[in-house]
Amino acid sequence: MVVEIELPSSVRIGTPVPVTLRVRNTGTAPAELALTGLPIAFDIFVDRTDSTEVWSRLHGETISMMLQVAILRPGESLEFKHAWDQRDNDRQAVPAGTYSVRGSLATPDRELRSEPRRLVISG
Amino acid sequence: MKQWKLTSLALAGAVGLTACSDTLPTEPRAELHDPANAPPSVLRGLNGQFTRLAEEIPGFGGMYYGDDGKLNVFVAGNATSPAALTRALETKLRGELLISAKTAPAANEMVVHQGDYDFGQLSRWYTEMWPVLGMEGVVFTDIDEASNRLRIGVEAGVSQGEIQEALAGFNVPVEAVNIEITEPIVPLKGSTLRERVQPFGGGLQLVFPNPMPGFVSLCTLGFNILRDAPGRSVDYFVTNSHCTLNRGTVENTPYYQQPIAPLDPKQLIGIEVVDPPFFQCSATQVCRWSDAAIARYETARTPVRFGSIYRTEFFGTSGPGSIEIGGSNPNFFSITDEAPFPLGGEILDKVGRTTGWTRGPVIGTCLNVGISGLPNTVMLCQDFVLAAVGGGDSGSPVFQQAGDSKNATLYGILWGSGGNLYVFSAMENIRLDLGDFRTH
Repeated sequence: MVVEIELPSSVRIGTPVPVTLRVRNTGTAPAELALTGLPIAFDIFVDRTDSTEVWSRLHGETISMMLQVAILRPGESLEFKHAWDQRDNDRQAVPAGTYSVRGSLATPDRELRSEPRRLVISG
Repeated sequence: MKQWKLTSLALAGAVGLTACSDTLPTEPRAELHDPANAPPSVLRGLNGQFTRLAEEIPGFGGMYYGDDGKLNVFVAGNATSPAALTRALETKLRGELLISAKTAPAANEMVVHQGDYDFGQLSRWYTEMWPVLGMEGVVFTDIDEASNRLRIGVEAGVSQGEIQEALAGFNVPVEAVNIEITEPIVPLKGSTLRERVQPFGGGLQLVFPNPMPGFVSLCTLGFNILRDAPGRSVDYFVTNSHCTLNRGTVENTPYYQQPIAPLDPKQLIGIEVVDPPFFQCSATQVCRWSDAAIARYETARTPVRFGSIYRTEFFGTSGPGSIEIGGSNPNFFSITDEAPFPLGGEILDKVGRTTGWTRGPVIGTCLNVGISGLPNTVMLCQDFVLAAVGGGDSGSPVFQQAGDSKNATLYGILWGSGGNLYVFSAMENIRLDLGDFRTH
């Protein structure tokens, strides 16, 4: 399984950032995907360039510990979408600048993570 | 050819026969039936039944069901004609001798094979060759009623010549014995919380439908309860409300005990029957006291172990514990008491299908908690424990083991996680939502 994240490379300050997290079966055989939460708990992290966290989607959240299991055929994917409102974990508006955005999905065995993508917020 | 072994026989009384011959190749030894001398496997089970049958019907050499469902019978020697033997067998099968799950066939429906050995004779030799089982590389010994032979299973590389030499030393003719190569039999590891395990008790995996196409849902069975109906008590179990098709409403969610998918109606164990709705607790929010729902066990024959939580091999603290159900005795915790709510610092346990048995301190008490993904929804007065948890552990019973004993005090039911801690609803809250029931 591979997790990919999609978002615009740049946005204007104050504009919601549309983020899509996609988990895909890149193998040649069907594969089981077991995801935690109801609804499924997907996380998105926004970090500064020094890797300190600005915001995470599930920051401070309590997640139901149900497991949802599906079989993904080769090439099949699941998508999760969220629009980040450019506010940090303390609900303060973030300044213009360059950020790194990544996503993750929790499974019982490990965390599935995407590669980070650069996001420029322009004033 | 597939061979069906007869599994359940009850033998009583004797039957009269018209003998065709006075001689049989060998008479069974009297001491064969002396409990002080004979290995138990000859006196009990199928071997014991067939040995006694051979005493009553001389020449009986064994029987089995073939692929075509017909009863195949060996007749040895000429003490009894095949026709007389099958008639005698028919009388037995339709009288005192019962074959489980099969309709007793008529004599003319049986398939008769000429055998070489009376079953009593095979039993005697089986007793004589008992020490063979102690030889290196010997996996099993058997009286094979489907071939009218004795059978010895050996691992690859074992010298069959040595086995035959040993048999000769025990006066067992080698032509009466088939020796075959087989895999060694190894003990299976203990069952896990995720498998089909009975009786049903706290900690076992629950599988149920998921509204999303292609998905199924997994949770954990919390604890069994008894709720009184007029004149009787009925078995139920408690799991999380979010471990239903729609939390806060009764959708008759079916629960199964099985590997994950597809859902098998034969593995149905219960149906959701109680799942209280959220109530308005502020102008903008709805609340509940517990994330708990009740399911009724569906089958009258469902083996339910009231007051029990499965105990696995070891507990984890910050990491997962074992999900293997302990082989040591006992492999259950017995609920002997309930606590209405925890105190900070108390050390509590939980058993769940994902991270197994974990233990940790209570680090938060009676907190009002939101639920990720459900805005404006609050769980009132919930408790936090610092211990490992994972997706699928929802529904886990939370309890406190009494010292190192098997006794446990039930504290509540786990439903959520925030980082490295889990959240549970205490028993007082569960009773506020679900009403009266007994847990022990």
